[in-house]
Amino acid sequence: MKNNTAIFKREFTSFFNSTIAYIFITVFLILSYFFFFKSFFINGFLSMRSFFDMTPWILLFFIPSVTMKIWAEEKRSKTNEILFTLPVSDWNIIMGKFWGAYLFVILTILLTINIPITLLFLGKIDLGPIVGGYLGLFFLAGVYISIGMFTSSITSNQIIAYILGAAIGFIFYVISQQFVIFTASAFFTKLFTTLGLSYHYSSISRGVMDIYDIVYFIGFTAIFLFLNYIVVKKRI
Amino acid sequence: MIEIQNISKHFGNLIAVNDVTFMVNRGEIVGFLGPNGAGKTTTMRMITGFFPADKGKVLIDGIDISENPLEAKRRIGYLPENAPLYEDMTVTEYLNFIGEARQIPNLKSRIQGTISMVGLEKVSKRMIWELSKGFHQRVGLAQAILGDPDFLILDEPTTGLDPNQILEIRDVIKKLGETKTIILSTHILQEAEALASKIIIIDNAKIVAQDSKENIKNLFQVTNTIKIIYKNNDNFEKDLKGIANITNIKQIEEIKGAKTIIVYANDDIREKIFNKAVETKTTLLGLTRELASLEDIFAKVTRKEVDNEK
Repeated sequence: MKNNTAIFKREFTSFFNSTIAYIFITVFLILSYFFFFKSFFINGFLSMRSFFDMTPWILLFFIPSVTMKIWAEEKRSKTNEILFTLPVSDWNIIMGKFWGAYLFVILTILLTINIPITLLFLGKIDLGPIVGGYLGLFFLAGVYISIGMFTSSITSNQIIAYILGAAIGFIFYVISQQFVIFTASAFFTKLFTTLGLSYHYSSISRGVMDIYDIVYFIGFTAIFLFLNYIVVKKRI
Repeated sequence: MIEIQNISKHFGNLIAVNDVTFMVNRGEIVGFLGPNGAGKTTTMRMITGFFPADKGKVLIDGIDISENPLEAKRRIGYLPENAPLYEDMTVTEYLNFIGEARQIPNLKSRIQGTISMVGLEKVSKRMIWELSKGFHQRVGLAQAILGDPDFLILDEPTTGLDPNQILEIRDVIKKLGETKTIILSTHILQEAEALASKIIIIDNAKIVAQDSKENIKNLFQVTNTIKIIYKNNDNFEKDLKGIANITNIKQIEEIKGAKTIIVYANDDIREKIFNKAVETKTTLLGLTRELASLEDIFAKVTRKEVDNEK
């Protein structure tokens, strides 16, 4: 049997059938360009540091708006009845939806690619942190999407899915940040930096490719996709 | 062949389907009849593999749907209640999605054929949310039959349609029934009667009767409640009392001298009433045996079961 890409295609194109894709792309670009250029002319040197510092926050609040509909809307409109009676496995449906949303988010992030291209023309820049930064954003996006899909699967209300998705993402992002660790005991410092998204993200976005960080991101995404599978299987 | 063996399903404390067993042979159209909340939809969701049964088995052509879901689902087309579709797609886009997900060969010509079979030519380029309820339901039917499955499960296919649309959809189902095995649910007696060759009645999560349409029909018609419309005889009611089988007479209305009464009897006495009318020179305008309501049937079949248990 050849690979079934129907669910993936449907999910990806569905973003463009509604206005949400265009709003998402526009606001994302405005905010990310704003944060880049805000400090670019002040600092006066060729770096995307401020862009890569701020974009995780933008994604944190924007990705749940992309994922909130993924299951909640199917449940509300009962279209899941046809979806789950198609001769397609639950995993195929989950992964189709995941990759559909993922491709959409990655393409949106890549629309900022003209920033590093512009920098290249302006002078000598260190490519490591830029490539690492983009990879870090892609990994982070995968985690946020799997969290958002999970919260969308436990409700038929998109608003609840959004709030829960953003909240869970926020908690996992901030626990490894300085202002949290600052007050924690040694044990929790270790635990929080191991679990925290921001710790692994900043390590990759410095341009340091550590297999440990990559395993962390893929594992994190896989865990939430698996939780997603458990919920979807129950058909609640 | 679809074999349903002792399936049950509960949601929390609610028992939605309780030990249901039946069989559908190839080429049959089975009417799955019951009031709202009887367990029709839950049963159909188990047959189509939407969710598994807590207990029991569903076999599609001998394939256990919980063991080999993809193989079983490939043989089934399902139209859920109210035809939930992706409203943000055009009819053709939607059917294309279903076709790709079902990996249907020669998809383009299949879509064309299906569109003309259910009469969607005029709206094939339109968005689904723009369509009327009738066309909406046809798209639902179209996605169910697109892969040319042997078995069709249709959940309340005519609910919410106007009388013309109901007739149109019934015609499509009848046409499909010539080549396919169909289970369709309804809470309307006449609908099951018009379409099905076999009728299964479900009430309160359990099957209360299953038989051929003819046998079930007898259950419907053995009431001896007779509606009479007459005029030109003010004493007809008194005259009727001479017929021994009558247990009660009720007046309904009088319009322009034509009186309507309901006669309850313990036998089919239409002939006696007619003769009495001739005898007393009464003008008979109507003489019909009332059909039993669904509630009467449920009362009757459940009473019969209790009798059998005694």
